[in-house]
Amino acid sequence: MRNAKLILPFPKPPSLAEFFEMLSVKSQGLAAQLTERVYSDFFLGSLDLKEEYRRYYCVEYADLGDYIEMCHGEYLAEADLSQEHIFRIKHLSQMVDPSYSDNYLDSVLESLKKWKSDRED
Amino acid sequence: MNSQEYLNQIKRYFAHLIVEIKCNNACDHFDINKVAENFFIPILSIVYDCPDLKNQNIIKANFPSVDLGCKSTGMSFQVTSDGSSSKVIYTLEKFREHKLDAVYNALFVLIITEKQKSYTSEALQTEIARQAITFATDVNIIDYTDLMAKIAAGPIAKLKQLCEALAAEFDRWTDYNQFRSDLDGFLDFSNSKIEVEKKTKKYIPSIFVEPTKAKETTRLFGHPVFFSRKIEDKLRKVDYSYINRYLPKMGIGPLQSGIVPLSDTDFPRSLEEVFGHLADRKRLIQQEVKRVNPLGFSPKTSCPEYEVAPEKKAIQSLLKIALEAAASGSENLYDEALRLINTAESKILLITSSAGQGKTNFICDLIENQFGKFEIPSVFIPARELNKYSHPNRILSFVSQNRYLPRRDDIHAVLDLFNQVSKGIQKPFVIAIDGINEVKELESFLSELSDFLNAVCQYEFIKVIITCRTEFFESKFASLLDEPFADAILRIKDLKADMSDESLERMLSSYLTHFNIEVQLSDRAADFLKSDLLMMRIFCDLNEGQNKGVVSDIYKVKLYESYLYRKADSFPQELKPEFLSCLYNIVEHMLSEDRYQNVNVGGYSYPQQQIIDRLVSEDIILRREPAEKTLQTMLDETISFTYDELRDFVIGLYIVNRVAKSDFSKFLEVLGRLRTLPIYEGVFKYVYLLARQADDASILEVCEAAEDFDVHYSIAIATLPHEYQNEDDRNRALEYLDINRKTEVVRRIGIFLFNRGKSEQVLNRRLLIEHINFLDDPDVSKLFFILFRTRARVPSFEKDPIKEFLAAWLDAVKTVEDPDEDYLTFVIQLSFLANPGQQFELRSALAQIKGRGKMSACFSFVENARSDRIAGFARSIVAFVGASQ
Repeated sequence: MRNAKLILPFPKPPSLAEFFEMLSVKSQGLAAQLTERVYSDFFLGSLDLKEEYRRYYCVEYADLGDYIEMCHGEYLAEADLSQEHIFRIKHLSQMVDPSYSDNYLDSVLESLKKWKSDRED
Repeated sequence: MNSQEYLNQIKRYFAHLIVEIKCNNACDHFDINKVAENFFIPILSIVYDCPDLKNQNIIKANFPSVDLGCKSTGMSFQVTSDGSSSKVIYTLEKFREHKLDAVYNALFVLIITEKQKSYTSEALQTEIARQAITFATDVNIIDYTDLMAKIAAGPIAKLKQLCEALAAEFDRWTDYNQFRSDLDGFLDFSNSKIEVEKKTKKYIPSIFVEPTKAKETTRLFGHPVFFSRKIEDKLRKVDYSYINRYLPKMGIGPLQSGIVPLSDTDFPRSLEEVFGHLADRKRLIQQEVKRVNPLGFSPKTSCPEYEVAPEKKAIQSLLKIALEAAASGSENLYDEALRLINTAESKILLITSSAGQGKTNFICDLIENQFGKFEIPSVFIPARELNKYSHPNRILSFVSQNRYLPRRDDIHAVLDLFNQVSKGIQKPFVIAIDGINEVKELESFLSELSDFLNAVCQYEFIKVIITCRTEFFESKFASLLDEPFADAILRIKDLKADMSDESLERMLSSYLTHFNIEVQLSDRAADFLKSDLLMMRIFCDLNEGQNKGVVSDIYKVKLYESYLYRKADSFPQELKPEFLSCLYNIVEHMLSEDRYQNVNVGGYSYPQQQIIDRLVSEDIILRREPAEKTLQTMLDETISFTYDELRDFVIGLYIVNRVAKSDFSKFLEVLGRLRTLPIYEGVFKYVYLLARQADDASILEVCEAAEDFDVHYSIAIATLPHEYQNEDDRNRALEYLDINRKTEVVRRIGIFLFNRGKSEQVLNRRLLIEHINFLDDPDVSKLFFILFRTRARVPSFEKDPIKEFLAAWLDAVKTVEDPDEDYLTFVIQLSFLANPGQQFELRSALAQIKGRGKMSACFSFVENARSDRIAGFARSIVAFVGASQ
């Protein structure tokens, strides 16, 4: 899906193996091939807005929140802004594309949320 | 002066130059080396008798090996501050590689500081031996002492000439230094024009909301050194590992990219280096595209290297789609990188958009904030100011009024100066011309602008931003796109198209704050304002400083009338009485010529001309139009209403208030004549609305008897202020909801009623749900299908608007404690058309609402519907009392 808009504040991203594990996917199976794409969309092909701000936008915008609001149209709470990364995901492969009725986006996001909170605990 | 005195003077000049160059180089101000190229042209011309010596970098950017060349004498010079052997070797290598011996028979390396005492490197001797021309280190590597020695033996006239040339160059150079130090003053003065835009409210910083895509484009365009790193980021995302997973399985060797993205530390830091790097990147990317394209979804060519052996054909067919996706993904990234390179390399940014869409706001913010924060030197030229100067030097004259600019007689001299500044600070020098459609003599300005842009394109580091109204550009300036510099133009066609919903929301909020308007807008009213920035401006201008309370609807007819009144009232006393007559004159003109735009307003009275000038300069009510001029019309303005609907309103006003009152038969004749024209629908609507407001029975009778009145009524009713709605409207609305009428009428009336939630208005959602409850099967289904622009539900992959509407309600109701009663009733009525799965969800959600007991009237109302299917579904909802079901 082109021009998807998903903003994911996140601490250190999981490794591919951890990603498989949190989704209960066996690393050599067919599901792994599909899920690897999702991992790539989320953590490799996405734009880290925090890094973008540091490298390009800190001259123009007074703070990170302003930059994200002005350039990406999203207001983020302080807790989200303080995450290590803020991934802006533009491409979503079919498995997590909301324009397909039976997609797994919510399940993947839920798993990531749980994984994140487990680590925070 | 005698010869010796001239020689001493020349020596002083050179000594001063060398000290300056050394100091600047020590401070990393290497721009002085580039300045020296031009500085030495007249000097070397005299010393070496080559009158047509030219800077090759101006003729062709990054001309290899030699900076200066004279085709008539065959002499060439490389001007450098680096006197090392390696620099001389590099120069000679490039001279040989580019076969410059075919053009020049002599090469001199001029060291602008001081040359080495000797050049004995073996590598240098080897390279000299490979040259087709004669090159001797003691003859062809020169510095100022050699120039002095060569000229010393010459006639006194030549010494005098050289001394004068040096004096002139030093004057120019001193100007340059002076200008560098005065740059802040120059830029402050240039950009003080932005303050004028603020005072006249053409630029209101506090309401500016950036169109994010356009702004991103200007970043790369305006500051390539800083932002071109983004191209490396893009290239870093290209990953051949997916492709290489599949290729070996098909018996094809893996791909290895020839591009190694640079880190920020390694990225070039000067404009010259960046542009060189980008040219190199472009070449490499094109090579990579040639490699991945044949593997992708839409190969332009086949590649023999990717031929698959017969025994691998089976696996190839299995992996085909996966490989194509990976290859096309890489190709897309390369395409995006090429687009970014094109943006960075472009010299002219052209922004076209229709009136009132924020071009001036955009360009002023760009200069004041984005360029200001990056200290990118820029000059802001409001194009209407160019009308004060004469052709063909409008732009030069405008720029020259700045006292900080050293005196220059032609545009090249000014551009040369800007270019030098630009090289010095390693940022482009940007000249922004806002609203070229506001220059009065468009034909002559087109040629001037074309010459100016041609000139600009000869200077590596000067860039131009131009804004223009789209229709003017298309009709008057489109030929610029056929000029030799067309490849250097980057165009943004519509600023607002780049605006996200969030941006528009922010803009509306900023407008209301800036104009100090206290208001609670309904979603419908907010959407109305966000749909047209000009309407937003009119609404805010009109209600400045007021507390409007809750505004559920904004009616154009009221908005236009109030705005025209406010505008007339703001005019000087002597012009006020002429205001409406002037607009009526324009309308009369339109009606008599049967031409509803591009009206020539020559011959109007002086006060009316003044009114037109004022309205045109504001660009909200009237706008200037490009027009072919003749001997008779050469001094006349050609105008249109900025907003077609405002024109229709003024025509309606004229017909109802002026024509109908003085001669009703003429009113009938005018309205009848418009019937076949595209403007009829708009004019009819306003005639009807104005007559409703005035309760003019004669006009209403004519309107209601008109052909297709139901269609016109269904359009007009949404814009009739609710205080004018009455029982007749209620009856008419119910009559027009008859499913046997025209579908468009039923749909418009139904949707209008559904969107009017307020029961205090005569026409509202309640009326619609009562009508639905009154209908029997299958008419009620047909009505829903008309309202939702769909048809009887059959299993299909098509979008189902009813399903989507109900799904959206199911989502929304999770977070709403007390849903709107009429809305809830409508959902219960509609639910029988959901598929079984969705019906289950709906029944469950509705059961919980019913269980809360607050909305029981809604359920019992629908249970009594005439349609068995509607009533049946409603009765099947069993109230649930509990936390969740």
